[in-house]
Amino acid sequence: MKVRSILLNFCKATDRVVQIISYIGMALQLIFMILLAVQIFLRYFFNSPIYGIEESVTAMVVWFAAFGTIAVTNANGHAQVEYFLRWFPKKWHKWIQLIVNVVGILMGVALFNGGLRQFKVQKIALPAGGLPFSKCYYYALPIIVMAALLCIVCTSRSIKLLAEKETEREGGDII
Amino acid sequence: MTIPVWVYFVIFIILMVMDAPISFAMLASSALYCVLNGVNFSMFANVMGNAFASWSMLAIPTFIFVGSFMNTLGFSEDIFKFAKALVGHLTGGLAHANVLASMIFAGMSGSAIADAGGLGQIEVKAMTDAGYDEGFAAAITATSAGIGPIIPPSISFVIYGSMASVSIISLFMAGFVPGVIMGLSLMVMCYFMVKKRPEIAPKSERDSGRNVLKYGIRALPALGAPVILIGGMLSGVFTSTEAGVVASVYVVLLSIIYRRFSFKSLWITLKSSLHTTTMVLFMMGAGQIFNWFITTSGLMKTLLNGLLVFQNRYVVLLVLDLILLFMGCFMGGSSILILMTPFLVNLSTSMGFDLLHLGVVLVLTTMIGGTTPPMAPALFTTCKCCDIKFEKALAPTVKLLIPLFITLLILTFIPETVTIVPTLFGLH
Repeated sequence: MKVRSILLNFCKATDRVVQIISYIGMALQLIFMILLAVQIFLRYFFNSPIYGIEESVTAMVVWFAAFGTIAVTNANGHAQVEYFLRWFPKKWHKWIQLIVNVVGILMGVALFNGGLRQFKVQKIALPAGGLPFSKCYYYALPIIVMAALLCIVCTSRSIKLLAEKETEREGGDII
Repeated sequence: MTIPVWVYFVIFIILMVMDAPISFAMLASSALYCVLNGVNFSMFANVMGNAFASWSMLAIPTFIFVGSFMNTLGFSEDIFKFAKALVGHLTGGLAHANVLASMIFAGMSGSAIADAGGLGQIEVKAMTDAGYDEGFAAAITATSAGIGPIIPPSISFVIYGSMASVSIISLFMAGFVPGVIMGLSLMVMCYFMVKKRPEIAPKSERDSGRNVLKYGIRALPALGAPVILIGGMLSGVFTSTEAGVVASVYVVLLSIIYRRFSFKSLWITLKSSLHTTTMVLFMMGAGQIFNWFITTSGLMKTLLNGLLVFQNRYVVLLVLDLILLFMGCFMGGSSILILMTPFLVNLSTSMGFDLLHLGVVLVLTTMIGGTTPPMAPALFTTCKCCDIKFEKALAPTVKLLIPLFITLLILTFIPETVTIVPTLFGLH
């Protein structure tokens, strides 16, 4: 019973972290859109864009994408082919979803490993585009953080799956 | 350890059938290939990071922002009322208004889901309130929402352009004629459907000239967004990303001027934009890794050779249409685009196809596939949003697919219908 409550608390904590991360993602989106608007305004009206804004926006977009991916994974909002699952017996669904989450954890491990290697390579590169730090902090590091969180989120989803009812699909693939 | 290449592909398919996210399925089969062939995962992080940092993909959150904000603030309703005042008195009037509003809305959102989920709900409610058949209302809403990614701006074209290295502005221009043909053909079909079964669409009174003018003036500010987006890009003043940003600022200013701005609306819009954009970006990264895997492993060559057994280019195009339609019945447009674009690029190199033409055909086919039974994911979403039974909308949807299939055949076999506008503007 104690183990169960610890695990469920872990899921709750994960949800809270993901919620904070989505807020940061949304804030980043607002900031990079404002920065882009300012840059366009300065470029077209005063012919004097600010050096470094483009690279700052790139850095924000990478972090935005990394955080957003975690939010989407936690909300079960990735593009999926839902049609064929109905062919499987209902009692299998839980276990199939569990396998999918394990795949998610393994992909997190692969991306984490790749991110660490990439971080080492990018760390020795000189800062570029007007930012005071090297690329590793906005290319490799977001991938490392995303990969680690992907493992945590998929683990939390697996626990929820075993302990509670299945989560609803959020959708959003048809653009 | 050597495993036949097709095994990885089968793993990919099995994972997709198991309802795994398509991006996970792409990553898993590529990762297995890396592990068994001694390739380290550094490439995974590198490709993913570059996909996230793609400058042209920055247009996506801005287009979603514009469409979603327009919906949340009620500007979409103004557009529908204006369209209704213009064509509402015709046979099947509200269905025509539905298509016309979708065509106008397409000029600012670039997404089918923004149309179906936002404007679509307004349209279906107005139609059912006026006594229109529920199934017919849902069917015309779902099929006309497919115009969203064809008429510029278009998120699908941004994805395709980034992946196939085709000018996004040229793709936008190329979408004009197909979008208009699509809309007009749907209107013609609606006319005949209502003529045959008048009970599905009661007649409406013609609006007075004064009313048309009133609704036109009310919709005018909302119509400014497509003018900025399309005009800005066409005149070469803005890139697609810049046009999206300027249109976003315009929409926010508009909401403040019209006292419709609220932080809640901004919050909803940012959340929906975060989810959709990052889902696409992550899938783009996974898709580029998967593309590396199928090219390196030789799977791409095998798949290409499979299609190239048909020596005739028209037969190849027809087979391609059928494959894409089949895929569209089960998968969302963005997934198909990310999966199929590398394949199409290779195919165009082998057969001498125009990538611009192929891109428009690809997007159109996935949109039609999205409303093609049995699965019809786009129709399903519309029915879910509007609380209408999916089965009720199936029969009218099948009829509305006829003009869309004809449009697809015209665009597939007469490439000039796609390339005429970009050629006129010197973009092709």
